[in-house]
Amino acid sequence: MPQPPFAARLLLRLFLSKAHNESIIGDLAEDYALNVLPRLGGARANLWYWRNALSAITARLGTQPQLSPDKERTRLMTGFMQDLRYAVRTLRQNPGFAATAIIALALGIGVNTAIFTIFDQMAFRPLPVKDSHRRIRRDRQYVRSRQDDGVTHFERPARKSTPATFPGGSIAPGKQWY
Amino acid sequence: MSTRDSLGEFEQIVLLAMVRLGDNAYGVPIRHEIEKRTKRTISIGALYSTLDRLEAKGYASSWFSNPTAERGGRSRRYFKIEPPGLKALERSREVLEVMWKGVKLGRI
Repeated sequence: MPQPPFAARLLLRLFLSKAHNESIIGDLAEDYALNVLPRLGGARANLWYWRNALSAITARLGTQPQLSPDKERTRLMTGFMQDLRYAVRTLRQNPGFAATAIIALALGIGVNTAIFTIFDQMAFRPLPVKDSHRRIRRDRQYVRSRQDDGVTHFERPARKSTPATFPGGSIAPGKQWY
Repeated sequence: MSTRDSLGEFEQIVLLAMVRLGDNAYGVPIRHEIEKRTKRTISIGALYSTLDRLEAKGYASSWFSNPTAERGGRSRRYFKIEPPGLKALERSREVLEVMWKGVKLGRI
Protein backbone atom coordinates (compact mmCIF):
# COMPACT_ATOMS: atom_id res chain seq x y z
CA MET A 1 0.00 0.00 0.00
CA PRO A 2 1.41 3.48 -0.87
CA GLN A 3 2.57 5.41 2.15
CA PRO A 4 2.00 9.16 2.67
CA PRO A 5 5.05 11.36 3.51
CA PHE A 6 6.87 9.99 6.54
CA ALA A 7 7.68 13.36 8.14
CA ALA A 8 4.06 14.55 7.93
CA ARG A 9 2.83 11.33 9.58
CA LEU A 10 5.46 11.72 12.27
CA LEU A 11 4.30 15.28 12.98
CA LEU A 12 0.68 14.15 13.20
CA ARG A 13 1.57 11.36 15.62
CA LEU A 14 3.53 13.82 17.72
CA PHE A 15 0.87 16.51 17.94
CA LEU A 16 -2.45 14.66 17.96
CA SER A 17 -4.03 12.80 20.87
CA LYS A 18 -4.42 9.02 20.60
CA ALA A 19 -8.11 9.22 19.64
CA HIS A 20 -7.36 11.75 16.92
CA ASN A 21 -4.36 9.73 15.79
CA GLU A 22 -6.74 6.89 14.98
CA SER A 23 -9.38 8.90 13.20
CA ILE A 24 -7.47 11.70 11.47
CA ILE A 25 -4.34 9.78 10.40
CA GLY A 26 -6.57 6.86 9.41
CA ASP A 27 -8.85 9.10 7.33
CA LEU A 28 -5.89 10.78 5.64
CA ALA A 29 -4.23 7.41 4.90
CA GLU A 30 -7.43 5.99 3.41
CA ASP A 31 -8.21 9.08 1.33
CA TYR A 32 -4.58 9.35 0.17
CA ALA A 33 -4.32 5.72 -0.97
CA LEU A 34 -7.77 5.23 -2.48
CA ASN A 35 -8.69 8.65 -3.92
CA VAL A 36 -6.01 11.33 -3.92
CA LEU A 37 -2.96 9.39 -5.14
CA PRO A 38 -4.71 7.78 -8.15
CA ARG A 39 -6.29 11.13 -9.08
CA LEU A 40 -3.40 13.58 -8.53
CA GLY A 41 -0.21 11.49 -8.70
CA GLY A 42 2.72 11.33 -6.29
CA ALA A 43 3.97 14.91 -5.85
CA ARG A 44 0.57 16.62 -5.73
CA ALA A 45 -0.85 13.90 -3.50
CA ASN A 46 2.02 14.44 -1.08
CA LEU A 47 1.32 18.18 -1.13
CA TRP A 48 -2.34 17.45 -0.38
CA TYR A 49 -1.29 15.26 2.55
CA TRP A 50 1.03 17.93 3.97
CA ARG A 51 -1.66 20.63 3.67
CA ASN A 52 -4.19 18.47 5.52
CA ALA A 53 -1.70 17.35 8.15
CA LEU A 54 -0.78 20.96 8.95
CA SER A 55 -4.45 22.00 9.05
CA ALA A 56 -5.22 19.14 11.44
CA ILE A 57 -2.29 20.02 13.70
CA THR A 58 -3.18 23.74 13.70
CA ALA A 59 -6.81 22.96 14.54
CA ARG A 60 -5.90 20.46 17.27
CA LEU A 61 -3.30 22.67 18.97
CA GLY A 62 -5.97 25.07 20.20
CA THR A 63 -8.32 22.35 21.44
CA GLN A 64 -6.11 19.77 23.20
CA PRO A 65 -7.39 19.13 26.73
CA GLN A 66 -5.09 20.41 29.49
CA LEU A 67 -3.39 17.50 31.29
CA SER A 68 -1.57 17.57 34.63
CA PRO A 69 2.25 17.94 34.25
CA ASP A 70 2.81 14.26 35.19
CA LYS A 71 0.26 12.98 32.68
CA GLU A 72 1.58 15.35 30.03
CA ARG A 73 5.13 14.05 30.57
CA THR A 74 3.95 10.44 30.35
CA ARG A 75 1.99 11.21 27.18
CA LEU A 76 5.01 12.87 25.56
CA MET A 77 7.41 10.04 26.52
CA THR A 78 4.99 7.35 25.35
CA GLY A 79 4.52 9.20 22.08
CA PHE A 80 8.27 9.65 21.67
CA MET A 81 9.00 5.94 22.23
CA GLN A 82 6.24 4.97 19.80
CA ASP A 83 7.70 7.34 17.21
CA LEU A 84 11.18 5.95 17.78
CA ARG A 85 10.01 2.37 17.31
CA TYR A 86 8.06 3.40 14.23
CA ALA A 87 11.10 5.18 12.75
CA VAL A 88 13.38 2.15 13.34
CA ARG A 89 10.79 -0.19 11.82
CA THR A 90 10.39 2.03 8.75
CA LEU A 91 14.14 2.36 8.26
CA ARG A 92 14.59 -1.42 8.48
CA GLN A 93 11.85 -1.98 5.93
CA ASN A 94 13.45 0.48 3.46
CA PRO A 95 17.24 0.00 3.60
CA GLY A 96 17.74 2.13 0.46
CA PHE A 97 15.84 5.04 2.00
CA ALA A 98 17.71 4.57 5.28
CA ALA A 99 21.11 4.62 3.51
CA THR A 100 20.18 7.76 1.54
CA ALA A 101 18.97 9.53 4.68
CA ILE A 102 22.08 8.57 6.68
CA ILE A 103 24.48 9.63 3.88
CA ALA A 104 22.63 12.94 3.42
CA LEU A 105 22.77 13.63 7.15
CA ALA A 106 26.47 12.65 7.38
CA LEU A 107 27.40 14.88 4.44
CA GLY A 108 25.35 17.79 5.77
CA ILE A 109 26.85 17.57 9.27
CA GLY A 110 30.39 17.06 7.92
CA VAL A 111 30.32 20.00 5.52
CA ASN A 112 28.80 22.27 8.16
CA THR A 113 31.43 21.31 10.72
CA ALA A 114 34.28 21.83 8.22
CA ILE A 115 33.03 25.26 7.14
CA PHE A 116 32.51 26.40 10.72
CA THR A 117 35.96 25.16 11.78
CA ILE A 118 37.66 27.11 8.97
CA PHE A 119 35.60 30.23 9.66
CA ASP A 120 36.29 29.94 13.39
CA GLN A 121 40.07 29.73 12.82
CA MET A 122 40.09 32.63 10.36
CA ALA A 123 37.67 35.06 12.00
CA PHE A 124 37.44 34.39 15.72
CA ARG A 125 40.75 32.95 16.91
CA PRO A 126 44.05 34.93 17.18
CA LEU A 127 46.81 34.12 14.67
CA PRO A 128 49.06 31.26 15.82
CA VAL A 129 52.16 33.49 16.23
CA LYS A 130 53.81 35.28 19.13
CA ASP A 131 52.23 38.66 20.04
CA SER A 132 49.65 38.32 17.33
CA HIS A 133 47.88 41.45 18.53
CA ARG A 134 50.94 43.52 17.46
CA ARG A 135 50.82 42.38 13.83
CA ILE A 136 49.94 45.04 11.29
CA ARG A 137 48.96 44.70 7.71
CA ARG A 138 51.13 46.26 5.03
CA ASP A 139 49.42 47.17 1.79
CA ARG A 140 50.57 48.75 -1.41
CA GLN A 141 48.62 51.61 -2.80
CA TYR A 142 48.71 52.70 -6.42
CA VAL A 143 47.51 55.99 -7.81
CA ARG A 144 46.14 56.59 -11.25
CA SER A 145 47.81 59.22 -13.43
CA ARG A 146 47.22 60.32 -16.99
CA GLN A 147 50.35 60.96 -19.02
CA ASP A 148 50.95 62.59 -22.34
CA ASP A 149 50.60 59.40 -24.33
CA GLY A 150 46.89 59.33 -23.45
CA VAL A 151 47.18 56.02 -21.60
CA THR A 152 46.14 55.73 -17.97
CA HIS A 153 49.01 54.42 -15.82
CA PHE A 154 48.93 52.96 -12.36
CA GLU A 155 51.98 53.97 -10.39
CA ARG A 156 53.36 53.37 -6.98
CA PRO A 157 53.76 56.77 -5.28
CA ALA A 158 56.96 57.85 -3.62
CA ARG A 159 57.48 56.70 -0.05
CA LYS A 160 56.31 59.46 2.28
CA SER A 161 58.06 58.39 5.41
CA THR A 162 59.40 55.29 6.99
CA PRO A 163 59.13 54.83 10.71
CA ALA A 164 62.10 53.33 12.48
CA THR A 165 59.88 51.58 14.93
CA PHE A 166 56.20 51.14 15.43
CA PRO A 167 55.36 52.89 18.65
CA GLY A 168 52.95 50.74 20.61
CA GLY A 169 52.69 48.42 17.64
CA SER A 170 49.86 50.39 16.12
CA ILE A 171 49.32 53.06 13.51
CA ALA A 172 47.13 56.07 14.09
CA PRO A 173 43.95 56.08 12.00
CA GLY A 174 44.30 57.96 8.76
CA LYS A 175 48.09 57.72 8.66
CA GLN A 176 49.42 55.92 5.62
CA TRP A 177 52.57 53.87 5.34
CA TYR A 178 54.00 52.74 2.06
CA MET B 1 -34.74 29.70 21.27
CA SER B 2 -31.62 30.00 23.44
CA THR B 3 -28.19 30.80 22.01
CA ARG B 4 -26.95 27.37 23.14
CA ASP B 5 -29.29 25.67 20.67
CA SER B 6 -28.23 27.67 17.64
CA LEU B 7 -26.08 26.04 14.98
CA GLY B 8 -23.46 27.66 12.82
CA GLU B 9 -23.59 27.20 9.06
CA PHE B 10 -20.80 24.62 8.98
CA GLU B 11 -22.30 22.73 11.91
CA GLN B 12 -25.58 22.46 10.00
CA ILE B 13 -23.75 21.24 6.91
CA VAL B 14 -21.87 18.57 8.88
CA LEU B 15 -25.03 17.36 10.65
CA LEU B 16 -26.89 17.19 7.33
CA ALA B 17 -24.03 15.17 5.80
CA MET B 18 -24.33 12.75 8.73
CA VAL B 19 -28.07 12.41 8.13
CA ARG B 20 -27.50 11.78 4.41
CA LEU B 21 -24.79 9.16 4.97
CA GLY B 22 -26.64 7.24 7.70
CA ASP B 23 -24.57 4.26 8.90
CA ASN B 24 -21.57 5.16 6.74
CA ALA B 25 -20.82 8.51 8.37
CA TYR B 26 -17.11 8.69 9.19
CA GLY B 27 -14.46 11.30 8.32
CA VAL B 28 -13.73 10.46 4.66
CA PRO B 29 -17.31 10.13 3.32
CA ILE B 30 -18.52 13.10 5.41
CA ARG B 31 -15.83 15.24 3.85
CA HIS B 32 -16.51 13.97 0.32
CA GLU B 33 -20.26 14.48 0.72
CA ILE B 34 -19.76 18.10 1.79
CA GLU B 35 -17.19 18.83 -0.92
CA LYS B 36 -19.36 17.24 -3.62
CA ARG B 37 -22.52 19.13 -2.70
CA THR B 38 -21.15 22.52 -1.64
CA LYS B 39 -18.22 22.62 -4.14
CA ARG B 40 -16.05 23.79 -1.25
CA THR B 41 -12.74 22.30 -0.13
CA ILE B 42 -12.93 21.20 3.49
CA SER B 43 -9.81 20.87 5.63
CA ILE B 44 -9.72 17.83 7.87
CA GLY B 45 -8.77 20.02 10.83
CA ALA B 46 -11.92 22.15 10.48
CA LEU B 47 -14.08 19.05 10.03
CA TYR B 48 -12.85 17.30 13.16
CA SER B 49 -13.03 20.48 15.25
CA THR B 50 -16.70 20.73 14.29
CA LEU B 51 -17.39 17.03 14.86
CA ASP B 52 -15.83 17.22 18.33
CA ARG B 53 -17.84 20.34 19.16
CA LEU B 54 -21.09 18.69 18.01
CA GLU B 55 -20.30 15.66 20.15
CA ALA B 56 -19.49 17.85 23.16
CA LYS B 57 -22.85 19.62 22.74
CA GLY B 58 -24.63 16.25 22.65
CA TYR B 59 -25.79 16.70 19.03
CA ALA B 60 -23.78 13.71 17.77
CA SER B 61 -22.09 10.60 19.12
CA SER B 62 -19.14 8.58 17.84
CA TRP B 63 -17.60 5.13 18.16
CA PHE B 64 -14.60 3.30 16.71
CA SER B 65 -14.79 0.37 14.29
CA ASN B 66 -12.27 -2.46 13.98
CA PRO B 67 -8.92 -1.47 12.41
CA THR B 68 -8.68 -1.83 8.62
CA ALA B 69 -5.71 -2.40 6.30
CA GLU B 70 -6.42 0.51 3.93
CA ARG B 71 -6.12 2.87 6.89
CA GLY B 72 -2.71 1.55 7.93
CA GLY B 73 -4.22 -0.59 10.70
CA ARG B 74 -6.30 2.22 12.20
CA SER B 75 -9.97 2.29 13.15
CA ARG B 76 -12.72 4.38 11.62
CA ARG B 77 -14.53 6.82 13.88
CA TYR B 78 -18.20 6.64 12.94
CA PHE B 79 -20.60 9.46 13.80
CA LYS B 80 -24.33 9.45 14.37
CA ILE B 81 -26.70 12.37 14.84
CA GLU B 82 -28.55 12.30 18.18
CA PRO B 83 -32.12 13.55 18.92
CA PRO B 84 -30.93 16.96 20.27
CA GLY B 85 -28.96 17.38 17.02
CA LEU B 86 -32.04 16.60 14.91
CA LYS B 87 -34.05 19.09 16.97
CA ALA B 88 -31.37 21.78 16.57
CA LEU B 89 -31.28 21.20 12.79
CA GLU B 90 -35.04 21.50 12.57
CA ARG B 91 -34.97 24.75 14.56
CA SER B 92 -32.26 26.20 12.37
CA ARG B 93 -34.30 25.48 9.27
CA GLU B 94 -37.42 27.06 10.81
CA VAL B 95 -35.49 30.21 11.72
CA LEU B 96 -34.08 30.53 8.22
CA GLU B 97 -37.46 29.93 6.59
CA VAL B 98 -39.09 32.58 8.79
CA MET B 99 -36.34 35.06 7.95
CA TRP B 100 -36.48 34.33 4.21
CA LYS B 101 -40.28 34.56 3.97
CA GLY B 102 -41.26 37.46 1.73
CA VAL B 103 -37.67 38.55 1.09
CA LYS B 104 -36.69 39.37 -2.47
CA LEU B 105 -33.11 40.30 -3.07
CA GLY B 106 -32.47 43.14 -5.48
CA ARG B 107 -29.80 43.07 -8.10
CA ILE B 108 -26.31 43.30 -6.65
